[in-house]
Amino acid sequence: MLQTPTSEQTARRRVDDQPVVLRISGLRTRFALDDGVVDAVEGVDLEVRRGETLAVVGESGCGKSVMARSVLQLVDRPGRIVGGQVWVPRPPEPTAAGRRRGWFGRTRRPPRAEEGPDGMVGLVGADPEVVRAVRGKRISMVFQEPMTSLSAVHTVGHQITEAIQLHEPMTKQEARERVVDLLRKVGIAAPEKRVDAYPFQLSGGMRQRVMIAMALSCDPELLIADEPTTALDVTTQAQILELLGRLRDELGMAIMLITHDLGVAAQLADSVAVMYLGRVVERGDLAEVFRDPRHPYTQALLRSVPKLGRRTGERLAPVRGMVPHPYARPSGCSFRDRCDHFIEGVCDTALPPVVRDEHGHEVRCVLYQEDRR
Amino acid sequence: MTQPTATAPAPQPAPAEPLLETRALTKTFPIRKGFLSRTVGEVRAVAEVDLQIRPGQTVGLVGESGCGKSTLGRCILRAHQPTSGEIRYRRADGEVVDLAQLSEKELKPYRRDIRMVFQDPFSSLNPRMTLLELVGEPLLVNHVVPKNQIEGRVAELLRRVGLRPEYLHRYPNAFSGGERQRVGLARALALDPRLVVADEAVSALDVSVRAQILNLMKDLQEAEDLTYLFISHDLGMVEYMADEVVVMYVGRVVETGPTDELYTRPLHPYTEALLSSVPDPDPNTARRPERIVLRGEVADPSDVPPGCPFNPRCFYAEERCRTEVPALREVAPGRRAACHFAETLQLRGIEELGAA
Ligand SMILES: Nc1ncnc2c1ncn2[C@@H]1O[C@H](COP(=O)(O)OP(=O)(O)OP(=O)(O)O)[C@@H](O)[C@H]1O
Ligand SMILES: Nc1ncnc2c1ncn2[C@@H]1O[C@H](COP(=O)(O)OP(=O)(O)OP(=O)(O)O)[C@@H](O)[C@H]1O
Ligand code: SF4
Ligand SMILES: [Mg+2]
Ligand SMILES: [Mg+2]
Repeated sequence: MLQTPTSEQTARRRVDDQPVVLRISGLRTRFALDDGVVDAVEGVDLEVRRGETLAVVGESGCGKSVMARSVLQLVDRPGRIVGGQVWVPRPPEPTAAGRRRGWFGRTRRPPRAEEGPDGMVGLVGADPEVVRAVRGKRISMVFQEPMTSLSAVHTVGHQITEAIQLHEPMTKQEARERVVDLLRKVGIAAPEKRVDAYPFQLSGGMRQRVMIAMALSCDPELLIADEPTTALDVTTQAQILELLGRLRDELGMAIMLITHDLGVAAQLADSVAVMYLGRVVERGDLAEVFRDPRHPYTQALLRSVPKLGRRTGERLAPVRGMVPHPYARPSGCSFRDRCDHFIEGVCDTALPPVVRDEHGHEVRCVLYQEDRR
Repeated sequence: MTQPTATAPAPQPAPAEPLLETRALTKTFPIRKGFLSRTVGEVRAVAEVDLQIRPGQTVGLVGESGCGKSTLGRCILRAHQPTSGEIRYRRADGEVVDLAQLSEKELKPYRRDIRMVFQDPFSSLNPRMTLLELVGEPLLVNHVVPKNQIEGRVAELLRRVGLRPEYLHRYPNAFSGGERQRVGLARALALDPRLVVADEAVSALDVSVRAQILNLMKDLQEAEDLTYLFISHDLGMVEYMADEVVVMYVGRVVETGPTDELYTRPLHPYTEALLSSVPDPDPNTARRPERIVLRGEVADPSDVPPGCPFNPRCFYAEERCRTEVPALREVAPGRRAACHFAETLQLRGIEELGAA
């Protein structure tokens, strides 16, 4: 049955002329373990503009979560950012009153951070004050495991109140009203009652809504959502995706959506970055990338998922082989062992360059190099 | 827009007698509270389920978390003792036995025929056993092959699931998730089972590896004449694997039918909503505005709403749905649904939802 595409389906939301809210350049994060080194993030370049939803997709272990945590300087030991920079618009200076709350009311020197172009500051190596001003306030994150990031011994109201009061001094009563309001905004029924519930009294979907409410408590410009629907049923997933889309449109917020589910990415995102073993191998407008995937890995990934309604009796064409062990990643193109287009002496000698077309569709593969075509 | 009809276009060959059939299979768990563990109520995790699994076919079992899929699978394996109902199993000699009535001792021969592949490839294999011991264990316990032939037989099994026989003496922690799931399959196949219950067997795997295992399961089915009960919450995978689909909602079967028909023309509003919820990676259809987003939460199986269990979330519910429980009944040839209005509702399947 032919269906005329509606305007909603064809017109991608234009964000090209919006200001950048996050620019990651050459980011490298390494885990130095006793028996080996894992370069979890190996030179990632990404950009998110105001109002944009960027999906970061890739299989388990490709470095999505570590990349996201690196943005907010939340990498735990033995992990360490060993290169690159995370640029964000300079956060507002803490108010004089806020700053005087330091030791003995001394006025301190302005916090330090690397200065970048367009009035941006770099978070890597910045004073904790700068990072704190960004975290929660400008950029907030919904973590992959909702159960471990909510405390079991406090009510959800208590936990969201704490998150708010960290950034904005307000009375208990004011904060409570704000929390009830937030819970209502994320679609929790009877928020006046649920505010006093403990996490274990809520379903998985409701806990995820609470996590989102907490992340929204300070009106962030960018929400990083790490697998926000992975643990949920499809029906609940549809509810959460609809919620995220609605909040994005209402609040004008940007979203970095981390997911291994290409369907989830397609449903919410404007642009996509495909990661494989710590690197972005393809990036561009989502519709464009999914319609015309260029990197052999992206192509294989799209072929591996059984798509609803395309039951043709055809077999799935999975990527062959396994994801290499993190200690032993191949030299050159990290996908070369599993790639059907492998060119000996080329793909295994040097890291393929990023090739970019006029629409900004980028791919890291030698097949698209000018002089090879 | 014309509505496709529910009847199958091509005449079907007479269906074979089921390999396994459940009749009114029910499993309740007591809910205990307090330090004396008083029983304060019960959960009907599986409620009067009628299910048919024909030989050589794959039956897909879908539904939201907590709807009773695993409990049903475990009853069939008799890992749970059903509370009531029958599990009618057709033996190789054609005789039908009710597994629900058998004692542990009487069950022994059937435990070889019906095997399970577990969800979690990381915790389901004993880390202190080598592949030889893991896969050889069922052979040894059941005295299937003499001791001196076990190694050869295990090597053969490993080869069949796509693992190198040289791995015989390695431990599971040396393997990736996909490889471990292959070991799980080899273990299940060791005793030449007739029915394999695969409970979310590939859900924990990465998409690329998952596709490899799904293809392997299909190949093994063809080569060894296997029958699968494929339990999954992923409707895309179930469509790929299953010949017949069974949809469960809070312990009950709400719809069954051949995969293609059920996906293109669902007869139960819950099936329609499930199909509509699946996110589609095709950018042409991904943001279809007409997506059905169910309201509310899955019903609590210890507190099932009166009438149709789905009524509080159903867009088509009427007064009758709140009082009268709809029976699972034949609505069209080969199609059963438990909705009062199954005959009259025009529900949208995947094609009309824009996924075709
Ligand atoms: N605390 C840690 N110690 C050692 N290695 C780590 C640690 N955290 C992550 N890694 C490694 O870094 C790599 C990237 O992990 P990351 O969690 O970012 O993957 P991911 O893409 O989020 O995967 P998933 O989809 O499974 O969440 C993996 O190889 C992982 O083993
Ligand atoms: N051993 C048990 N004791 C008490 N209740 C149980 C037990 N096992 C399962 N239940 C309950 O029975 C219901 C069905 O559980 P079951 O595990 O069969 O669901 P499921 O469909 O497999 O869910 P999932 O998709 O999350 O695996 C749930 O409400 C569960 O809490
Ligand atoms: S660079 Fe070569 S090996 Fe890597 S993906 Fe491209 S073609 Fe394949
Ligand atoms: Mg992760
Ligand atoms: Mg289960």
